[in-house]
Amino acid sequence: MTAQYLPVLMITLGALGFMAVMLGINSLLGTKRKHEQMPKIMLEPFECGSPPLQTDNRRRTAVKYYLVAILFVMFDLETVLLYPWAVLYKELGLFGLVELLVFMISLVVGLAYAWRKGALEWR
Amino acid sequence: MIPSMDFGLMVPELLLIAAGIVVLLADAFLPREAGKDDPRGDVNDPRGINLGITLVGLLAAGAFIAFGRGDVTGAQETFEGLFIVDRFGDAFKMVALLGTILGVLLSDGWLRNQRLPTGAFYALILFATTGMLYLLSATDMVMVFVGLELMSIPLYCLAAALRWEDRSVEAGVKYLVLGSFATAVMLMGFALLYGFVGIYTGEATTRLDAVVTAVNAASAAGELPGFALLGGVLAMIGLLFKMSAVPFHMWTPDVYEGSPTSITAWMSVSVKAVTAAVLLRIFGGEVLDALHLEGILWVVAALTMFLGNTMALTQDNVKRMLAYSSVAHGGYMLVGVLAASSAGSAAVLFYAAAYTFGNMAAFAVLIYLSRVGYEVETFDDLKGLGTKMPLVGAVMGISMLSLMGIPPLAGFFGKFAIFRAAVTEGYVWLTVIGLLTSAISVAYYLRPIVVMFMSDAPAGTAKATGQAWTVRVALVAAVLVTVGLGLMPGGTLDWALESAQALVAGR
Repeated sequence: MTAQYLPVLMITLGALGFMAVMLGINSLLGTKRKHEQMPKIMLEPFECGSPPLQTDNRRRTAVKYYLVAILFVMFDLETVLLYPWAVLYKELGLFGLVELLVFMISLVVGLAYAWRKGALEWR
Repeated sequence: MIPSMDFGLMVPELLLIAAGIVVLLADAFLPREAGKDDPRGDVNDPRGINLGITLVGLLAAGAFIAFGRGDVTGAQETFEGLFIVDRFGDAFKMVALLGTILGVLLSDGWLRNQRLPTGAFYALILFATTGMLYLLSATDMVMVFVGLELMSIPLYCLAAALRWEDRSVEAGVKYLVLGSFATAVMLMGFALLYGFVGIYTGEATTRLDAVVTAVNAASAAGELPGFALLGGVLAMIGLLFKMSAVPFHMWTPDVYEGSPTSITAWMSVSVKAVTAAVLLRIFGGEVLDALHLEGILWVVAALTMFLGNTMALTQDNVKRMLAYSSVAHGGYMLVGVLAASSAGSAAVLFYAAAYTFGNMAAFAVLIYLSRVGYEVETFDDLKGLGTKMPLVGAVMGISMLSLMGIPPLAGFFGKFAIFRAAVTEGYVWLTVIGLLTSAISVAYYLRPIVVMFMSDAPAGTAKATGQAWTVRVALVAAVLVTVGLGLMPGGTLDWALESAQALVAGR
């Protein structure tokens, strides 16, 4: 039973070995200097071309985006339920129709509440 | 294939959902006069329409459970065994609904003080109550999960209801993060148990009775695998978290302190009662021993009683003190869960009822004494108020004595029933620990009484006036029931025993 997992073990060993070899060769062949003694070029990002931009990439997003996103998720989930219902429409018959209507109505109630409370206004 | 469905058994839950939706619609569509005295520009509910719909929904659900079930005595199943109606679940549903009604009445006064909009608040309370009721009817692991989430998610929002106050938001976020994590742990446990049942019986099912039967059979045959044991522990951890049992209690004081006082009061009683009932339904009986959980639960119960009571000693904030006291009371209920005989289950039910009313009375006093822009929270805030308002002070006194377990109040008979059942089942040392920690609790329960009656009020303290009638009703009702259950416990104890026998018979 465990024999079928042998390739996983081999890949794991291979990956670890490759890593060890690459790092090992580097530390064997490379010159060792203290951080302060390095020329400036050695402190640049390795082989990446340009130095990284020194701008702060964290920006705050207005909360109104989240509101819209949540309303979107609501209808996204509705679609998730609509597809299987549509596929099984004939078999479920009237029962399925009523069930789905109950679901849709409660969804519309939620939308109506959000609309009346001003969640759809972009301010 | 369409499953068999009997919506008649689900009427209380459906009534609550309908009430929640109607509250939302009424809140959004009925014309309202914008409150002139409203500094935050929120539209309040001057005519109490939202409160009215909420109370009607809760009372209708309670009335249906009390009178609308017909003469069926045994358990009734529907939705392919996902949903069960029995006396045990119905009894706990009544306790949870009564706690919720008191919580709503208290919330009304608090919401008026804080000038908060009421619609969404009440709708969330109704939806969380629906979750509690589904949880009490759950006989399937999936149903337990859905019920638990339906109960918890509105509670996360309600904890953060004061959204401009750091403490309240902190309470909400803490509860959300830790609560979700606990639910995930529980789900992992359910998944492992599900896998075990599938492998052991050859038929994959999430039904609790099938899981219990399989675990018992495997344990008797000595074939219970380790991962099933792990599943049992993980499933229990999720529930113990909701019950804030030590060592899963860390969130309790912060969340209880930051949440709106009325929500704290409601969470501390109803969530605890419901969780204890679910623990009894899933882990009551020999399955607890089969899963090797008995020793674990013993230690958890002892630690919970001890730490809850000792940590409460050092608190200066009354809400934090009551939070640790609720941890301790959860510990006493766990003793009853361990002694899961019909007497033990009945004791948990009676204890939950007694604790609901006794604790609600204490929180009602805090809300009664709070005014616009002034929350009574620390012991210093209570100074001398008992001599100024003897009746309110008396209510606080009765509530504290009941929580201590002094006869002839409700709390005494609750503790008595639990410890008697525990001794009968052979948990003598646990009972000794329970009694000793009860003695510790006297110290901090006496503190509000001492502060209210034996110290002078700071200059300029006025009597609390102009409280909404709802707060007065909740205050009087809670204290009357606490005294009434203490003076005449017989009928309620019999009722609890009958309900518990329904559970034990179904095992």
